[in-house]
Amino acid sequence: MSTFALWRLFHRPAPAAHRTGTRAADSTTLLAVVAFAAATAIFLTVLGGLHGFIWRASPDHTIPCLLSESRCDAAALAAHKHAVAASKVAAEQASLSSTYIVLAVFACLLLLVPFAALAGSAARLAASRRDARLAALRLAGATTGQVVRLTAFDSALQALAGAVIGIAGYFALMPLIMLLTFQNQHFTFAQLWVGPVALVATVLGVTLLALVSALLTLRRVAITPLGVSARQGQPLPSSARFVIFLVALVGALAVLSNMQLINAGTGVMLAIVFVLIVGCFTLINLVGSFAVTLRARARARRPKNAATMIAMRRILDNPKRAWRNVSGIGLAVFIAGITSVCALFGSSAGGDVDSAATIMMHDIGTGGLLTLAFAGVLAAVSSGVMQSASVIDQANEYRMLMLEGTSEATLRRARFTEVLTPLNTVVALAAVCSALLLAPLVGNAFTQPAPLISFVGGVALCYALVLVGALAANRTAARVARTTTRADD
Amino acid sequence: MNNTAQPILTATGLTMDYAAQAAKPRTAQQPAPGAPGAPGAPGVPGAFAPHPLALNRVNFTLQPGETVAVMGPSGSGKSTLLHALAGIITPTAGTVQFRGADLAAMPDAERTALRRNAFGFVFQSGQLLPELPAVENIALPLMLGGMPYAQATSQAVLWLERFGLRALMAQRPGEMSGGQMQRVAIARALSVGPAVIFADEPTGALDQTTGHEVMRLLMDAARANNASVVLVTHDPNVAAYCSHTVHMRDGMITAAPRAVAVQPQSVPVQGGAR
Repeated sequence: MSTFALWRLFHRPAPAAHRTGTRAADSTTLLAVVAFAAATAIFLTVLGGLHGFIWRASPDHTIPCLLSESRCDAAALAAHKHAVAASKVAAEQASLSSTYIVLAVFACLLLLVPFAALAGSAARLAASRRDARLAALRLAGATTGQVVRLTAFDSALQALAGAVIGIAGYFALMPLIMLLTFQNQHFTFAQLWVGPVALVATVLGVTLLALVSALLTLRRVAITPLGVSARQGQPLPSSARFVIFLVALVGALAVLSNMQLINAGTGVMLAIVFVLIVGCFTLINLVGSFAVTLRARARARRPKNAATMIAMRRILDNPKRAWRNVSGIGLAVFIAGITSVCALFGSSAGGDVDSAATIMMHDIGTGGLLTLAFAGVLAAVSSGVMQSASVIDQANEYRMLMLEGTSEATLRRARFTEVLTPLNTVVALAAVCSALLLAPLVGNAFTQPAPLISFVGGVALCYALVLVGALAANRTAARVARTTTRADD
Repeated sequence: MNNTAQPILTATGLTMDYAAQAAKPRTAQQPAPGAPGAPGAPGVPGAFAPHPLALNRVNFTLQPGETVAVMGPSGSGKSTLLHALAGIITPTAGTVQFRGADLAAMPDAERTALRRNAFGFVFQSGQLLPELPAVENIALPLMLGGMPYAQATSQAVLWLERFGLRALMAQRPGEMSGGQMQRVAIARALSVGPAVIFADEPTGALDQTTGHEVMRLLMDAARANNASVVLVTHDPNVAAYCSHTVHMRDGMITAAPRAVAVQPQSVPVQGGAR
């Protein structure tokens, strides 16, 4: 039997009388579709921004012309050259236009990380909520390859549906983006419109990314005839990670303390910021699960109540999972750090507020805030999806606890603590890392109230978003898990 | 059954219609027997339900310290009866009284606390939290009752020692055999000093030898703690550990409680098989 035939078998419309059993699948499918829709809408919006900057930088508003003047429309090129020659501001802006494009590409690349994490978590959700079905299929003789392909296919279809809905979200966000000012002017529809080819490519790309991510994720999930288990006796993260982290941090500090971001040229500054963000993100991902393990171990030693004990033991059972659930905020925290410093540069750069350099610093601040908001939303959606998968995974054990007299409030507290502990750890770790690594570059910027308030505000916003996302998912998934089993099953 | 003492648990006219439950929201208050909407009244389950009922006007009494086995084929309503008696599900009609208090009339929080403090549960499998070591699994209900961690784990260690499981203290369920897990589950059920232990096929996932060891442990511990036992099983050898057996078919108790002729098999004690 082909995978597609299997898939069709499980996706026949159920008669209305028999729909209660599919409620969990419906809800989690909806959650995954919403996640992909949010990611696609954000990605297209950022891509639209990139297109806008290319549109502005290119004399005839096309990419070939941007790359080579010989491929430009002659009339448009002449008009552009005339405008640049006639106005000093236009000339300055033209000289910085490529920087704007690099920054927009950078924002796109940054958002790819949380997007890939989101695709992986949606695939995990797809596997965890179908454990009974997948195990039964394996028991009936289906191969591991067949069930993996079936689940990956499901995930890809969810991504496809989500991406199509995300296009509507992109159009809905467009008027808001058009209110923003970059290069001292508002975006227009023509600038933000990425075109039908990019839309189709994005939809296909999102679907493909989900498919690949699902296949990679499912390689780590054991689907056996006796059940689906993501728990493979995970070893606790080794302390070598911490040693590597410390060495890299001290090395980075030594290198960075000999640089001054303010005095560097634009290209060098961008390169430093890029390496900083990627390096810091890699570093905190390296040490994150170890830090979460340390924190959970300390709290598990003498838990103050049953909820804390359950939560800490669940974290220790799979620290990587606990870390992954909230790791998206680590990147957001670092973006918040960069953004707050850029905003300070923007407000303090030179006396000429109309100079292209000052405008660019201001624009970097605005763009940073946008990227921060998008990264925060992606991290929140990702946490929500991962937490849902986690709650559904543990539904049976929690149901048993409820039968034995554990109150719903206790289980809610346990789930809350299970999210809050790693979340606090990642925020503290990322905040300290960004402050440490940025301090040598920006001098005493962090001692001034404006960037500090901006930094703390940005972190608080992302923190709240992730917390709300995870808690909403907690409640929804718990309700779904509870209502889909008959009381005496 | 011996009816001279005050029963600890009484069920009257228990009726469970899952189709009807699914069609309406779950309510705590049930109509009084004989009142409109009660079983027997027109248009309610038990009177004209066109499908089989999970429980059909079941009456049940449990005395303090009494051990009762509930037997019957699959789908006969054994587990539903156990869940209704334990206040896990609210029956469509009928009442369950524990020490004179109507379970259905209690607020959910009170019923939850009752399950935690007065009842102990042993299921076929899967009731231990896989992330918790044995000692914390046993300490969990004590901590849920408000006991501090240090005190709860000390008591849990005592239970482990009593059951000869001290070596398993730091082991998690995935590292134990089925028999060991059931012993830990029994220790957990008994740790709160329950008045009634509800056991649903506690040996269903075990081999015969381990099953008998687990049953002996359960009944000895229940006797030592003066706890009553309601045991659901389809195995007459397991039922023989109880002082009484009731038989169920199609949601009804088919015969009056009677003494059981089968005696528990005597088997040599061995370690739990993996």
